[in-house]
Amino acid sequence: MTELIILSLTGVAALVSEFLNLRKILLPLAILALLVVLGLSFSHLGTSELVYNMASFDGFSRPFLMVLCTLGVLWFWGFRRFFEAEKTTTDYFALTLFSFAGAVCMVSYTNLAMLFLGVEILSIPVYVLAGSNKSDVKGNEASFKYFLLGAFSSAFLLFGIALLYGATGTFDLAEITSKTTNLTSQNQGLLQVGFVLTVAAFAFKVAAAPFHFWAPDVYEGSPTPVTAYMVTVVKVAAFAALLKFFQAFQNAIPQTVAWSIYGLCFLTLMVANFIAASQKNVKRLMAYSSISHTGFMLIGIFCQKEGAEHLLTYYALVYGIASLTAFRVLWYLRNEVADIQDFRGLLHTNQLAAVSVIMAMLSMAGIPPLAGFIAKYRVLAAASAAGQGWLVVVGILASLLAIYYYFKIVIVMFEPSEQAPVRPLHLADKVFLYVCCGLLIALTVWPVV
Amino acid sequence: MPINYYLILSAILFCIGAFGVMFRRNAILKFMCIELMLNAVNLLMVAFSTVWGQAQGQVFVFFIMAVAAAEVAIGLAILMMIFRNIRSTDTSILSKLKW
Repeated sequence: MTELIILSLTGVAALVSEFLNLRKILLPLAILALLVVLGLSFSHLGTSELVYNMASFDGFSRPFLMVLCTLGVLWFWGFRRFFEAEKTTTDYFALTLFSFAGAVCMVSYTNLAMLFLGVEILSIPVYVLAGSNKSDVKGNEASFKYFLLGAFSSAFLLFGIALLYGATGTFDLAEITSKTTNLTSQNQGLLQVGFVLTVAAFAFKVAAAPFHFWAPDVYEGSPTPVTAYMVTVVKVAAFAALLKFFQAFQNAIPQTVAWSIYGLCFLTLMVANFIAASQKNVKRLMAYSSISHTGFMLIGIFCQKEGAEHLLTYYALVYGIASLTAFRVLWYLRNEVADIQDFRGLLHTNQLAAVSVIMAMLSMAGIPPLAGFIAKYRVLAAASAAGQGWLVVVGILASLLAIYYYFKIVIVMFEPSEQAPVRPLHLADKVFLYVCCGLLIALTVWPVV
Repeated sequence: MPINYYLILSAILFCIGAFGVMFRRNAILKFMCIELMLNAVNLLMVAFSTVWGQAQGQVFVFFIMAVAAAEVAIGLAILMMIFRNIRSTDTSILSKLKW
């Protein structure tokens, strides 16, 4: 509970600092708050705390909180120039911190009311942030699409929750689990429809095919720092919530629904990788790559019966760090529209940036010495252990396709460039890139969490 | 009255809203359709709450109403921002981002 209070109070402090003239200390304050939450979650890892049967901070939510805070600290650090706008500094800080509070609700809910509130608290600030470049029509479009599809999927989530309530008479997740076994046939039907609708709403939120169509548009149109925030923090929180929800219903899912869930994984992997291979815009390519990683994480959720949270936190951390690195370099090269050709000759003009992009791409493609390989390997091992050998084949094929489009970016960097050398990186950004690359290597030797 | 009537009514309202969001061109009408979907859920929540004889579902309705109000505030702000740039609320103009 302290974690939630700290983050919300920091958000309020960010609002107040507008008229107290304390804008300068906001960045250290935000990072400090996240580090405190990280430390608290780490030191209380073994304990569990139930807050009025609404939220529970325990062995499930604390690891996810740690991943979220790590990604959040890296994000604030790497994209701190995003906050340097003249009039809106405090608003941006307040919005991100409030949406972080929503993420905390989403990873720790035990009551479906808390889940709904968490989803909304997380999303509503991000709708605004997506449109933070007010005069850019593309940004407007991204913001509008994100808002519309977000509200649309929330309505599905709510309808699902209402049906689950109708079937069981409670919003408490643990009570719902205990009541799923002996229901009347009508209530059984309500429960199944409710489950399917809620999972569909989650599929919207995590951008799984066939509910992914909004994601490339939104990721391309939003300012790059906001896109980086969406593909890391927002996505991880949504996955944590989906995993918790799915685990509650694990024993009550009929065979047909289970198969359509595997179909969701298959479709996500295939659609994302085939479309990504034909992209020229790097932001769109990264959007499809993020959808493809959604597919892998879905396999992890649906196939691993015990301890899926360890698998998922590891995958999310590795994927998040690699995405942050890639988006940071992208933002450094070009503020908005980004063609693959922007990377041409980067290896000759700025080696550190080029090497970190190469490492991020290799990690996302799952090439052995990097952490992404271990993450993908663990997911596919879980699929094979669950007896879904065909998903392993699909996963490997998808990875092969992914190597093609990740290497398109890498190869362009080796080519000679006629462009003027780009401006040098700031020292803090160099440290950021070193830390990210270091983590991508270090996580390979520390995978067994 | 049996619960099925409420279930069917709110499912119909929800579908009208969902189709409206998908096929209407005007952004403000899209917002109204989303409100219709949320109110279909509210109706269902209250009906189930009466069936189970508890207040939980009705309390949830208050949460939905509050969040819907916040969402509309944000949505109209986004719409104003778009209107300033393209002088229209027709969403078919918003198609710069494709494939």
